[in-house]
Amino acid sequence: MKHVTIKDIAKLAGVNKSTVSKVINNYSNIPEQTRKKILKIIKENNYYPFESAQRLGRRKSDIIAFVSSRISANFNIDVLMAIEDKARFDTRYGHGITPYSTFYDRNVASQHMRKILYGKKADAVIALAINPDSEILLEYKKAGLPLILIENRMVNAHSVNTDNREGGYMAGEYLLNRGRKRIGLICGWPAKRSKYGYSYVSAERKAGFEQALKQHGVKFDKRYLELTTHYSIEEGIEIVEKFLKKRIKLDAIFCIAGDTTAIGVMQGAKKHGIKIPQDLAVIGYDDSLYAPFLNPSLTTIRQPIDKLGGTVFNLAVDAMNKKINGFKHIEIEPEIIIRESA
Amino acid sequence: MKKLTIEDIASLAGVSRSAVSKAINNYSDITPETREKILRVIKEHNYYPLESARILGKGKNDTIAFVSQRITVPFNALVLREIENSARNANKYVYNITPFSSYHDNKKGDDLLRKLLYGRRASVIVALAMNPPQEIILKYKQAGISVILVENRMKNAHSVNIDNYQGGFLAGEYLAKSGRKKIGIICGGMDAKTRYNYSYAGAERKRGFEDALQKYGIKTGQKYLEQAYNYTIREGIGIFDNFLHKGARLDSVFCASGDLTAMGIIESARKRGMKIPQDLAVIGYDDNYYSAFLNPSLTTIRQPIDKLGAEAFNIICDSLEGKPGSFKHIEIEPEFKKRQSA
Repeated sequence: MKHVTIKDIAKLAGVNKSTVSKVINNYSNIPEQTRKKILKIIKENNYYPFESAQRLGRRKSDIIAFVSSRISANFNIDVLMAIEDKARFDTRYGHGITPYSTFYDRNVASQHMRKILYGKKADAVIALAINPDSEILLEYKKAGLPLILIENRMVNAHSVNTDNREGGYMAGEYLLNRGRKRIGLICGWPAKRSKYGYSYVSAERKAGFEQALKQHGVKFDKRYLELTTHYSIEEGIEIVEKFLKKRIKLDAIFCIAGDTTAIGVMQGAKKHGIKIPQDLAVIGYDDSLYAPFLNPSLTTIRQPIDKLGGTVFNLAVDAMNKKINGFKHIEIEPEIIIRESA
Repeated sequence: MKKLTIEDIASLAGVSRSAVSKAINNYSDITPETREKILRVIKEHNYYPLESARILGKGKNDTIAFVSQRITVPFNALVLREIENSARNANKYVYNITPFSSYHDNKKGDDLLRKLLYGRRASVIVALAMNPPQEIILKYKQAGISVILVENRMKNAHSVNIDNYQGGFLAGEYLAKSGRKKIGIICGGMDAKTRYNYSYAGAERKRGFEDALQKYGIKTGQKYLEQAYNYTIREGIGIFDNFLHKGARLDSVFCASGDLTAMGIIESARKRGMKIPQDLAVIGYDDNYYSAFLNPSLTTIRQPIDKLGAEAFNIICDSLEGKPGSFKHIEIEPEFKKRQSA
């Protein structure tokens, strides 16, 4: 089959090449009738602009990049789905969202972010729970490529977060009001400069939790803190073993690291005959789709992901259309969902 | 930051420019040591070939396109993840694997496949649970671009499947042997005549399941069959009601449409006071990472997605390296996971 070119389309439509180009690029100075006619001919003749040439010429990709630790992580999928849902029904933007996975590796994250920037692979970049070097942020700023951070907040980038401090506070307040005193904390790496990478949300949730402790006059015991790197079920089980080995007797665990870790904690506790919630109350984070179906069903802090996705998408589109001055930081309210586990 | 060129990499590695090019393009006529050295230099110096220029020069693109209904469906994301994992572990220069979604719209899917072909956007296509018309597959064959079908099988394309017939058979046989008599099945995309609602995997699972039931003299038919369309928990809840309205008093259900459907069925059955598995045995499909921790834990057919990803990646490599060969059709054995729900 002969490759259909823009010239062929122009000829068939009886217009000049630049008119076809204007239609493809959604310029507004074309009468509606002409636009419709050209789009019809494009469709009938299976014409697809040669993308790379288009990119070199326009320096635009019509793609939003989505960078996360791994696209198959439950929370990451949910966030991406919420953004996609918004993108599909938005008339301002009809193109794709391309996910990139970093596999929890800082170098891979930097590589992806530079590849996207210098390979001109996207018009906006959304980075979920990624800690880019401040150099990269400056490179993005200089190039004018919008970057929106989720689960992080830095200078020289936009950010959208659920109010993590508030989420941590809610969980602490709930447990303390029910008389729990020895509350274990499982969280990502809250300290900057840590080898495994810093988790902004963990730091915020932990700070909110400690604030609740303080209000109740309870001192935070450092031995009650365990850190996670993979946010997996297995790690949750291991951490319970660690607490037991250290002979630390807890009456509650708040899994800042998320519901998946909470599955592991409940599993690990059950193995040792610890009853939930009688002996040990467990609170998760996220409210994943399986949380109501666990044994026992999981009390957790819900992140309103639909709202988060919509907000992120709107911000990305506004930023790429240069409708925002400076950098925007948006916070969305979380919610505590009470079930059986606490 | 100065933009690195291929010459810079060649001089840093102490090799010729063409050797670098060979390493990037995975040609086999350089020694493994040279390849490794060059890839290390590329990585250390953050070298990114300007993709658009490469495509214009070679007339083809090194992108691996991953086409599915929706990348945010957990199974789809996991397949992508396992292909990515294989890519990461291979000592080869691998480009980003780019996901594209057709959003359950076959027209959109066809359009996407044409866009990838005529827009020269990819040199290998992995199509997951897609039903492209033979005409498009032939165009790909003529263009020398490999298509690897997952959860489907067609002429003129490679295919990698987890033996769906076997999975259905295992579930049917288990329920029949444990004395269940009124066995329902919930399955996706049954209608082979309308491409818009056909799922090869679903049809194969149903065929295997019904063969097993027939072997044990158990009734099958419309009364015991319900279709799934979006594979969600909510849909599962609704389907349970559909069975009741038809007057099908089931003692067991095989959810060939996945573990999420099974979660919906269990939820709904419980609300009506039924005990699982005494009153209703439920078998899922997939073995999601949390399925062992549900209440009750879910008996299901496990899909070894890691093996699937590795097999798909082998074919990708052969295709990128221009190794000739006939079309491969690979079947991987599924695994029966016995837990509490059946």
